Amino acid sequence: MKKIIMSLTIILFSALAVSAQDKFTLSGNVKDLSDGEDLIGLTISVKEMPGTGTVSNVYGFYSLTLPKGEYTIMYTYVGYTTQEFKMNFNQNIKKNIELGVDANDLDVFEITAEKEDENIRTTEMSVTKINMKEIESIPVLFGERDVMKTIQLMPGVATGGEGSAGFFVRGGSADQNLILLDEAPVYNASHLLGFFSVFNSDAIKDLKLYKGGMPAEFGGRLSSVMDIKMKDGNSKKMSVSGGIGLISSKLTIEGPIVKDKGSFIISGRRTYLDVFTKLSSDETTKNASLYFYDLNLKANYRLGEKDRVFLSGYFGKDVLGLKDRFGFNWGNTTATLRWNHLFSDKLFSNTSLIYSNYNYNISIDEADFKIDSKIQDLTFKEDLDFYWNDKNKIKFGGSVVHHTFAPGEVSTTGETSNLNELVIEKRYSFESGLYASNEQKISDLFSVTYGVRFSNFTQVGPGDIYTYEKDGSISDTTNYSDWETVSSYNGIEPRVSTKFQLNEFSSIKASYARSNQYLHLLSNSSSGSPTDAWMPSSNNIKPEVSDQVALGYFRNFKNNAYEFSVESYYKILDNTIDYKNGAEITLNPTVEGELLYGEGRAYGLEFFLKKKKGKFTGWVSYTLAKSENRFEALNSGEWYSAKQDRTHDLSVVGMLSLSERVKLSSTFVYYTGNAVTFPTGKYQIDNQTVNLYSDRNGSRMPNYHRMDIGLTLEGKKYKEVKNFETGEIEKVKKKMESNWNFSVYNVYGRENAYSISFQENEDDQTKTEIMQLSLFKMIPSISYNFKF
Amino acid sequence: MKSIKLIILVVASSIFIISCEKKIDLELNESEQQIVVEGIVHDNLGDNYVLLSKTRAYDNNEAIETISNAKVKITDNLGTVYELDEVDTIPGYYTNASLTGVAGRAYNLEVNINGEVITANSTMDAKSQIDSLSYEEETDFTDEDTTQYRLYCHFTDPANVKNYYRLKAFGKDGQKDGYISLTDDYFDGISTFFPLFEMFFDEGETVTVQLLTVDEANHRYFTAVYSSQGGEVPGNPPTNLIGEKAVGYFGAYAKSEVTVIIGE
Repeated sequence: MKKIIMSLTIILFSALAVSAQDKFTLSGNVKDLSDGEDLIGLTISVKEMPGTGTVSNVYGFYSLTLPKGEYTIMYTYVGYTTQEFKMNFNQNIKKNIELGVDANDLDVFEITAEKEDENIRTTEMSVTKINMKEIESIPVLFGERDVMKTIQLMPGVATGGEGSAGFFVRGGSADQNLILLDEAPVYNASHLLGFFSVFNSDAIKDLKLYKGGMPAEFGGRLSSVMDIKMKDGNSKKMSVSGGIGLISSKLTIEGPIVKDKGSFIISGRRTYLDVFTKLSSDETTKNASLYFYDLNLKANYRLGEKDRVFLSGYFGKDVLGLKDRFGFNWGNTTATLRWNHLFSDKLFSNTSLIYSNYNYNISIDEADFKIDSKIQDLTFKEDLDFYWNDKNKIKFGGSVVHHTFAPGEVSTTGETSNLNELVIEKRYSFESGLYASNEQKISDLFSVTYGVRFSNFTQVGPGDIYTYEKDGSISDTTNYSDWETVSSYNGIEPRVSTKFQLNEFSSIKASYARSNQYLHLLSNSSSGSPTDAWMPSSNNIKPEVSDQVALGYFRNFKNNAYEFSVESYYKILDNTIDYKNGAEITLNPTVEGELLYGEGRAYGLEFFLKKKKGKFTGWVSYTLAKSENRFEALNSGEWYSAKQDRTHDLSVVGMLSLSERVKLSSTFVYYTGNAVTFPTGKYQIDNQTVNLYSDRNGSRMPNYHRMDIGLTLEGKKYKEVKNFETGEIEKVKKKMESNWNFSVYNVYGRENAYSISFQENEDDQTKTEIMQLSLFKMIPSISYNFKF
Repeated sequence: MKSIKLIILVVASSIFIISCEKKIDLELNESEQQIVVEGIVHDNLGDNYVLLSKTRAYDNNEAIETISNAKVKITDNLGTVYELDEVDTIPGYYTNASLTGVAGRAYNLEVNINGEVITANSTMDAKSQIDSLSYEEETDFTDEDTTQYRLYCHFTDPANVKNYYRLKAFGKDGQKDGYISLTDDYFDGISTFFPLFEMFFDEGETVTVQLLTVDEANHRYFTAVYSSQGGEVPGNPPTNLIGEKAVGYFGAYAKSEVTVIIGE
């Protein structure tokens, strides 16, 4: 303990020592020249001092403090033309920059930007970024570009499988991922039983996934943070873009409110599978409704030099039903109000007020029966970026979330009902966090980001709170009044991330992070369904805690044309939750009595190789991993494979531009099947076959593999126009850009197992058989995309 | 509750025409053979039985292995011992013609198979009577052409007491498949009717419905049997049998039985 305090003090003093001289600050905003979107993570560096510089934050703001003198400042961003300026640091400078893609360059792939080695220079490790332009050509199911599906092609990220948008990061379960859309948490990120995610890629600007070494500003989930930023909208001119596909279509309208000061974006998407079902001759199918829609809305306005406000919202809903018989719908609603304020050219603040709601309801008309379930959050958040000097960047802030859980309310209209109404009590809680961290450059070769997060979770009344015996029966019921504290948990979560630069093109990074998770998803399937219930920590359920260490080697080849990394991690989890045999999870008021608590551990090795330049680009990602649990009550207290344990996970993505307008792409994935509990015998009860089980998760689903291919045909960018004055034929840029996209999902039609069921033979009840359900064989798809 | 989810999933997957289902062969791990005990005592004279058999490997589709020549006895809390004898024509089936279950009594089962002893306890609760049966025409989702009927069982639940029930139905093909296991959470103290989920009957069929009042352990067992069949959390249902390598249940049920002919 003493040694830690000593070393921290030394580091702090070295930071202070630098501040003795005369210093000046260069700050401003960086945007895209063509549409005014903030550029996130843009590098601002000093030519004369390699290794010195800063990076723009998530709002496009940057601040760089240097000692008095003359410097050449470079602004670089992958895919954009670098800009350089000679500046005299004898006073504070305000400089806003707009970077553009060079309009004369026909071949986008030849543009070289110097600072593409960001992956080896930043202390950030265990991070995956999605390049929105890149995912345009990756072939996907039904031609729908999907960021969640693309992230699953990265190392350490395992897919929940077909029919699921859930994913597992480094052996963690599906509820351990914090998904943020413009800072609002999204509780169920999948549509239509998981075939599509709720993210319309046309409205998304940036996506970053943290798999480990979580920065201190994030908390609440153990395995990952998926930070998604929506586009702000073209602040220069009106733009319309969209796409028409086989089962869904989308449209985006964006434009300035006041040119260069404010903009808005509206983006919507809807499937129309029910249009096809209405054409069916089958009565049942005709009356079926099956659709979903997403609507993303955002507006932002700059009130002055120092202030900017944003208002964004997301509304999404899935509807599944049979007319007059039953209906099942679920959806997310989020709304965020944010205010950026510059206290000084070194202190940037963002204040957010966020509302988030996820709910589902099921109605069964013939039984006159309705179930409503929801989870609602109200969050207040304050984040500050303090760019102290060129060697220290401090982040600090805090947040408070008020959670309301209404796990289930059963109601009837009363007329033909034969059931009493049942209400599973609402639960209320406050989840708060306070954090501080510093990204410090200790020397040219060594940087470290260190910080701590203090978190607290308090469950409050009103409500009847149960305490349970080990066998699941209720031992005590206590009534709490409004706002009265039922239980409270505290957490201290240290976070450290370090980078050691070996040479120009390689580095070693190491990190340690401790996280607490206070919300738990009780799921009755391995991949999740809309009726999974989120439960808060309580007097019965303790917070889950994880400690993760990661070590990685990063190396770029051939002048940053190739990116390579190998990373290993080890995670320990405490207070993991599993279920008793035969547990009833859905709509159970006393579900807390069905839970078992134990520990988990996950470790693995991730390989990643990416080719970024040239006519042929792509990547290979391979993960070798193990994820296991240990519960006293299960499998005789031995370690057993977690459901999501995935020994091998391989993804290969390739993109080839055959010509300026034609691009071919292909994806190949292979992974080990999930650990499942299959029968090890059978017997009869009441003349019906009952399966006999022994080890929990003792068997495996068959291995999964699949190949997809896609072809993108860009529309002609230029048209030939006769110049009336000179009489010559000229090439004029077309107003509308368009492309056709053809893709085939599962090219060799492999029947991958979605589920395996064990059932009695229909004709002879004394015999049993094993049935495998596969969801998708070969599926071709066409879509047309346009942009004005 | 679970049947509702089942209906939804069935409809959802039938709409998705691209998927396919096929029979496969899988090599499964095999566990040690267990003894299966099914024991029931009803509140009628001689209406009781204990079925003894063994579990078998999943791909073994031969005849079930029953256990003969075991010593089976049931003792009530007054100390009366009833020995159950195997019926010659039904191997593995043991019964006692003079035992009548009585509400409020606790019964203890003891099975001895060559020295291996399995015991269990169950208390018989007060009977809830079936008030009546009614039926309604139903269109089966999966088969549009035939007219089928769904049955509803009407009964009154005693108020302020925790009651557990099982519903069984017997039609022209014998016992109908399915385990319907209820608690009175949704209908404590009221007269209610409950549909026999997943059971369809034809016009003119003679149907016998049994409303069995069971104890908590048996309710948990049958709810778990249902959900363990590829449902929520696969695992062996919690049994009230005490003994090594024993699966199954023992219950003392109060039975109310009504017969109806559909369509009349």
